[in-house]
Amino acid sequence: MTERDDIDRLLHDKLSGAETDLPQGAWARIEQSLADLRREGAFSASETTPLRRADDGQMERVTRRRVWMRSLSAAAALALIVWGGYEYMRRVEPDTDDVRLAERIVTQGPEQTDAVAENFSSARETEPGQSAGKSASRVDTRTDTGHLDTRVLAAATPSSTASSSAAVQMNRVEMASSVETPGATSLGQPGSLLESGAGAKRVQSREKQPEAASRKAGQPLPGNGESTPADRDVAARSAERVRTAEQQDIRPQWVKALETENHRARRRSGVPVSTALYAANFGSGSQSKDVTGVARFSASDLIVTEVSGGFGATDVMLYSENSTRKLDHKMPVTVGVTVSVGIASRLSVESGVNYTYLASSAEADGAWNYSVEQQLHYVGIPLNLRYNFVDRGRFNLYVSGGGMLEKCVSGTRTLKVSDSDASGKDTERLHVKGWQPSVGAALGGELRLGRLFGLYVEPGVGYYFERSNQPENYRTEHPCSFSLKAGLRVNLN
Amino acid sequence: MTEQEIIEGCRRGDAVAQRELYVRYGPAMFAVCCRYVADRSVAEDLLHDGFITLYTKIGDFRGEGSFEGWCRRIFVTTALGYLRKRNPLAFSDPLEDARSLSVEGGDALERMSGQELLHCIEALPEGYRTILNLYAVEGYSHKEIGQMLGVSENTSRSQYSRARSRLMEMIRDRNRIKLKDKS
Repeated sequence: MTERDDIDRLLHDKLSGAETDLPQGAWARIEQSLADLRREGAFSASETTPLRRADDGQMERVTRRRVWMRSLSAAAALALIVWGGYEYMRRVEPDTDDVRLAERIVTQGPEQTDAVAENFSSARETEPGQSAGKSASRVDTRTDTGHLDTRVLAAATPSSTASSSAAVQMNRVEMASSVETPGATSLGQPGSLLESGAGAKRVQSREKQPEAASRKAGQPLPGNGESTPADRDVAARSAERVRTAEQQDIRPQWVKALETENHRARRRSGVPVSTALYAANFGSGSQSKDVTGVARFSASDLIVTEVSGGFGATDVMLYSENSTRKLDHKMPVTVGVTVSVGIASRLSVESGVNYTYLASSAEADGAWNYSVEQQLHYVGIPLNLRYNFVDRGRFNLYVSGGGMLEKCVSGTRTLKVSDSDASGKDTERLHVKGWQPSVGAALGGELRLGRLFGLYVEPGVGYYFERSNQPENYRTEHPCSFSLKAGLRVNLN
Repeated sequence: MTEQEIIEGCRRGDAVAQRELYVRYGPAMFAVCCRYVADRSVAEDLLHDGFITLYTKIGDFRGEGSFEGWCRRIFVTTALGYLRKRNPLAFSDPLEDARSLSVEGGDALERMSGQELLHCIEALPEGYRTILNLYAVEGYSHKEIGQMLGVSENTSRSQYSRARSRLMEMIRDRNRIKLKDKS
């Protein structure tokens, strides 16, 4: 019987408009119950304000809270980006000076390089309590010789003590070595520069040499590239210092290897690229709550009715008086793959694709047992900015922040009804329209396993914006939620 | 008092409007209750519970669609809530060919008053009565009824055929008795 026939129509016409005389005393009972409800305050606000208005007030409070949460999340994301940008700029500027300095050192020849070493030794000779002014004056004196414009160094450390100034200079010289061209020879080699920061003692002893003394006195130096005996002597001494430095480098072999690999990688490509496979919230867990009112679950309905009011015309209402009801949203589980591209030395942009599984269930136990199980499958595209603020070779710490758009690609909902004698089941396929946007921030730690691989862990927080077209799930219940992501990162260059 | 005034009055908790709502829609709602349960005292309880729900939920009525239809749904929901607790639907019979069931008696049905028909429906077993009400009077599809009652669509279809066949049988019997009495 697929269509309603005449009998059905007759039954409908005769019964739908039927009326039955009201029983005696029924209104008195209702009136008594209404009076009880009034005493309990059910209509207390309604004397002056309609019931609808009271609901609106509650909705307004909820909306206000959601606006606050959104604003806070946006502010946190903005603060993260601004802070990341500031840190980036703060660190990039000195690097630029270093590069300029390195270029000068390399292009000006061996004497100037030697002068850097001497400048360093002079700074080390200064007493720890001495002011930077004294150090600066010594640098200026050397500037007068025309060998090396060390004002760059002095200006970079205007308020530091002489010793710290020297340390900064040492670091810069070391950094200069990393940007030097591979073909550089003689005193321009990284080793000689490394040595200049390796220890003041050796430099001090070198300062006692007559050649150095004569240069201090302002004697002209050959600048035409011709090799003089003095030059050769300097070259020999520098070569010796390189060997000494290499012998005294007591760092573990793997650190040196890693450093070398890093330098090679930087030379090969200026844009570091890495990819990562990860899983988030891989542990089991759920958030559930007992519902004191009518348990609700969106979409296909048990009883399609406006009684549920505000839940929409196609909502489920598990309506059974004196029954216990429970909504249970399992924590989402995400797996994905991301690719990050370095846009600066410590900053990278990260994107990719991920899959998230969201499961929920609702139960109502009464004379009959009702349960609804829902499974949602989302595919998302994240876009994050990642900033490494600690880079210790094998171990990195970073912060990342950004946004993500997700689309529900598949979803099912199964309604089960059972009791001791009968049971039934109906599965419905969900067609969810629209996107789920979110923002998030995370703090991550990465442990590198060789040059290629790294294991990382990222605890984070995300905020999922409310979208009326998304089915109820963990994220709609907890728009602001914490997550734990762990994965394997592959460095592709 | 217009329907809108009654609704607004009930939202404010106005006792006069509440009384007016009861007087205007009470008889139709009581008929709904009687269609779902045979026991008159239980129907009175459903009437009471339905009106309390109506008064407390009236703020949720958005003004979309018929107000009477909205009220009717509250009472149907209330009645089904009661029936679920009683578990009247133990559908374990195998499917039967609906076409083999007799539906003769259309003329007798046509001559019957609504009140007489209600008496016949009250005499049906609860399970049959529930499905007949949901399908023929409330207008739900068998798929919807299946979801509401936790049975398959085919079970709802089969049970409705049986309920209708039983009802028509009762109408024919009633008609025969009437004819005998007249003769």
